[in-house]
Amino acid sequence: MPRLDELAGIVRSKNAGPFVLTLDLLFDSQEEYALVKDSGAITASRVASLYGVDESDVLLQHFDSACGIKISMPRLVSSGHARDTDVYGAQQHAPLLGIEIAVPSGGHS
Amino acid sequence: MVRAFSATGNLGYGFPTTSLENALVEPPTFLGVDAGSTDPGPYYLGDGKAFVSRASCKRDTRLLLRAALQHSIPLVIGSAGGTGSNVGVDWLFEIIEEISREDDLHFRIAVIRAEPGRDKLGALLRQGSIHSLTGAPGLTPRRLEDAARIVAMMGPEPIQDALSRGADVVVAGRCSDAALFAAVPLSKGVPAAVAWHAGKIIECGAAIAIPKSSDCLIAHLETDHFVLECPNPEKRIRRENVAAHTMYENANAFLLHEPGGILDASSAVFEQIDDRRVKVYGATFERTQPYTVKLEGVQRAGYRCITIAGTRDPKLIAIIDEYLASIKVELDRKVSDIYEDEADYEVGFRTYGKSGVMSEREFKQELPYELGLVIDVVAPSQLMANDILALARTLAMHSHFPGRLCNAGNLAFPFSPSDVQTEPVYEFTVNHTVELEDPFELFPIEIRKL
Repeated sequence: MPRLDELAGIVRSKNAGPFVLTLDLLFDSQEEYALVKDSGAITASRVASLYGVDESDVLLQHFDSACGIKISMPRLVSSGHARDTDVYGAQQHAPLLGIEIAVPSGGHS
Repeated sequence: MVRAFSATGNLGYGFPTTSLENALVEPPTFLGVDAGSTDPGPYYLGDGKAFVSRASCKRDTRLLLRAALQHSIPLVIGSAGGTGSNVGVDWLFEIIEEISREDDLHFRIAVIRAEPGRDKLGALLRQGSIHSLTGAPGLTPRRLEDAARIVAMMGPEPIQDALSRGADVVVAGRCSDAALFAAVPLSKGVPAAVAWHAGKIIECGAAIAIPKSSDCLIAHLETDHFVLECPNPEKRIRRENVAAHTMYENANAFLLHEPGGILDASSAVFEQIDDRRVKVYGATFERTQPYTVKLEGVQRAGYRCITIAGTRDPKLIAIIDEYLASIKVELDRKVSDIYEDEADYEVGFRTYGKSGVMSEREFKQELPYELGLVIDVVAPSQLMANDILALARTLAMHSHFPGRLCNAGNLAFPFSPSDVQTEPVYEFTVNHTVELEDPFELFPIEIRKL
């Protein structure tokens, strides 16, 4: 099964304001986007378990015209807080990279 | 109808002079540039410092000022000084004054402040007009009082007013990035959905263009669409990047909460015209009542001292969490010995190579062959932070651990002196919305002649 990092063109994280982390998965083609979207591998509950947050704290949206999936969740602590490890929130994407995407037979080669 | 020009992602990040010259061949309706962000964290608002150098900011400002005055088109700068606070506005104003003297340029400049007084905010809080955004702690009169600085994010209205009163240049305090670019188009009758969506895309300069580097971007706004183009002929724009930028740095992919309304881009269409141009239409803008703007504020959390070290000892690396936990206990004991109950401090042992980046959200378990360690102490005074860090460093260097063979020292310090005192530490305590009776309420406008 291909991994997300083999199918996505961009996997990035960033602050959305000082209290929220947002992750964007962007695909170079409609086909790759549809493959990942339709596989059902990327869900709020999967993301919640990967990041150890409550599922109710995860907002997951499909943005078809951008071939993108957006995931937002609270930061562990606010940006720049004494205990923060990532002020820009720019390096919080790695847990997503290895998600395996089930491909329908005859699909992705 | 309107040609909007965005100079660069942030005033001071630079742009090629040739891009500006190309853009001026058919002069834009206005020149705009965003100068601020909360991205670099709470320190800059706390201490009122810019996060770009004065020299780079002056270079960009000089080029834009000359272009604007030469072509008699307005120049709008938002979130001056990086934070849009009063010191930020004054910092940029002083740079502009200096350029005006050096280059013998004379013009009318509007200064719009965005740092409302605490009395005013206190009254709004008592009225129940202030509400927390996701994740922010509730606002209390105490928090309001303890904040080092609080800014409000203006919408387009104060900028429009300043321009209608004859300002050639507008230096605005904290301002919605999109509002800064929507102000002129809205005044010229461009529909709100087009003006706000274009504003959102171009506020980052040529971030959507490839190859990527700090550069200018132009949006041609019409009544039912806008077209994006980079004045640098070497740059292309792909529709996917434009679409992706719509959802950049917002929690919600489609909905953008702005002063006075919500931009909904869920039905937006992005069309590739050619290699260099993308056409966008189809977003909607819904006006909301009451008129609401965002507040941002920070509070001082203390003073910090840090040290950087590494270990190459496999036995220590194998038990590093337990080792550091035991040191923390010993440190607490020593600190209370010295300071009794006065030391309200925080120590962090940041292990790079093991959860240093993701902290408790890390999922990997493998141990590295060497480990970087940053010890940081935040305490109520700089002296106390320095002293407690020295204690923590000595403990980390010389404490025993099971199986220890390296009894001359557990850590490699790359520097002497090993300890670095940093600037004060701040923390975001205000990330709220406030309902206003009118869009000018918190944003006094002053027009001066230079």
